[in-house]
Amino acid sequence: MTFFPSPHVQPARCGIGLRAPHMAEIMSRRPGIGWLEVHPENYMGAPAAADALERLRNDYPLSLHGVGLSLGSADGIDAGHLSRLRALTHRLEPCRVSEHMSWSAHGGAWLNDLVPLPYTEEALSVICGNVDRMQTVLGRQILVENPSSYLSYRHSTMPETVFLAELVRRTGCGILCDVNNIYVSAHNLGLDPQDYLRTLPPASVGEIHLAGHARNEIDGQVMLIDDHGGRVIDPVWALYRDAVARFGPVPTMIEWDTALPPLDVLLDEAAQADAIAEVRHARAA
Amino acid sequence: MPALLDLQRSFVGAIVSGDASELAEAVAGHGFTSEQCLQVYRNNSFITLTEALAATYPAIVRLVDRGFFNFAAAQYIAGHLPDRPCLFEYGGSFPDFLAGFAPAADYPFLPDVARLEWAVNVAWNAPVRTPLTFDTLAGAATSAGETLRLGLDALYLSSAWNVDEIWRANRAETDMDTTPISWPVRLQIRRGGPGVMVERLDPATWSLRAHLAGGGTLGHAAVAALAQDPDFDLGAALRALMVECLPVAILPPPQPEA
Repeated sequence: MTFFPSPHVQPARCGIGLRAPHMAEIMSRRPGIGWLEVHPENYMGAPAAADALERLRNDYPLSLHGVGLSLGSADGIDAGHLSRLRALTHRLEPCRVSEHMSWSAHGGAWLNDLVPLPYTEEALSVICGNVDRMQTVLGRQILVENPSSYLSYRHSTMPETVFLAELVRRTGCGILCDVNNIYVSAHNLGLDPQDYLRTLPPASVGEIHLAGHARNEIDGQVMLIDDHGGRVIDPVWALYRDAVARFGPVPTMIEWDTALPPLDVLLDEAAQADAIAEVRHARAA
Repeated sequence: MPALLDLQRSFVGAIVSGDASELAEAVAGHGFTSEQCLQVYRNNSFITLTEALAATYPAIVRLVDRGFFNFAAAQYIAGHLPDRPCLFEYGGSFPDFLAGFAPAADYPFLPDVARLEWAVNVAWNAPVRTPLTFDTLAGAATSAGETLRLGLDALYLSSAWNVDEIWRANRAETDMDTTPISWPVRLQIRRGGPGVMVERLDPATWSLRAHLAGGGTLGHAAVAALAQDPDFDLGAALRALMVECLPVAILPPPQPEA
């Protein structure tokens, strides 16, 4: 029996990122997945796309996961984009809205990538101001996602987890804990992923992301690239088990953006995540 | 220690130029050089933006092949980062870039095919059109000074080449063959049905509609149409516009500046 949860509540099950090539199949099959997540930027244009999403939203809880606001920009966030996000939020009534602890725009130019911030008091003040503004304009709490990083800054004065926890404390936002990002950043920056998980404030984690990543060899050294282009690897599943143990039942999502496979592959990944969470909760009961 | 604003300015500059020297002091690579770290972000940006351009300009990709397209896109991206975050809005100046891109000089029709693809993209992503009703039009005091505003999903393009045929033959889902010929066309591009329709119009009808779409007054649009065809039936042309539900508002004449 297919289970359709309430569209207003994000269940503590695994959802998937809805990508355009899967839209028609999901509309016809209506698979029993926990919820759907989309990038709102893909639904700010063609009316037909937003219309289709609105129909799906009647059957699935929907989360809007923004990639374009650039919350870490020192010259502020784009008022026009925030206004469009507010209009889409009012129309679709998503169960969640999230963004990233990173920046992607400066001086009116967008890199369309998620670049980490230096973890300084100045950067903390900037992103707190921008998160405050976003939450005020949307009239709701947002979740902010930890980035995947390929560099750090020498002038950072605090660890990423302290920066994130302080962002939560000052703005009241929640955390979208991307477990794959923790794994990627820990490898690239020489951090301990377990330590990272242990340092996050558990009560603030409102959602978990899982994804695959690529291995790039540069001059004989491996850099992990967060390309969302493959299955979740075993060490990330292991880290997910630890995250579920620490954070409890949290809505989880499979992200897949490049080399998109058939829908069934995403559904299989989501079922694996659900199985891990169920085993953990059964043990805890 | 660079201030955040300075750091972000330098970072964007390094992504565009590929020169990471200004960031060497600030960036820690953990076994990788700052150049190698910055190159990862540069690759991410350029790959994403090239894919966005390829999605908007599929006929151009097929006309020049993917390798040449990627080469042109890289040159374009380095000088034209997006000025907004939604990728469907990126690349409006790509046709003008192609017009001045020397390696594409053997394809003189390419910029106009790209302009047609951009118009199709704009029409598809335009807001929903709420057509002007006959009752509203009848209640307005129509005069030559008024403007009949058309929906943003209706665009008008003219070309010295048969760009509509070239575009149809090179869309991703087709496998037709066509020969670019110097053949003037006047096109209407509008959203309709399940997609976007590209239609040829006669010169007078095209002039009337293109002037209106450009914000011209009814009077100026009529003069432009009659210049193409002295026997042009303006009344029938306006009725046709209404039947096609293209006008969305009728605006009073602009007030003269004091």
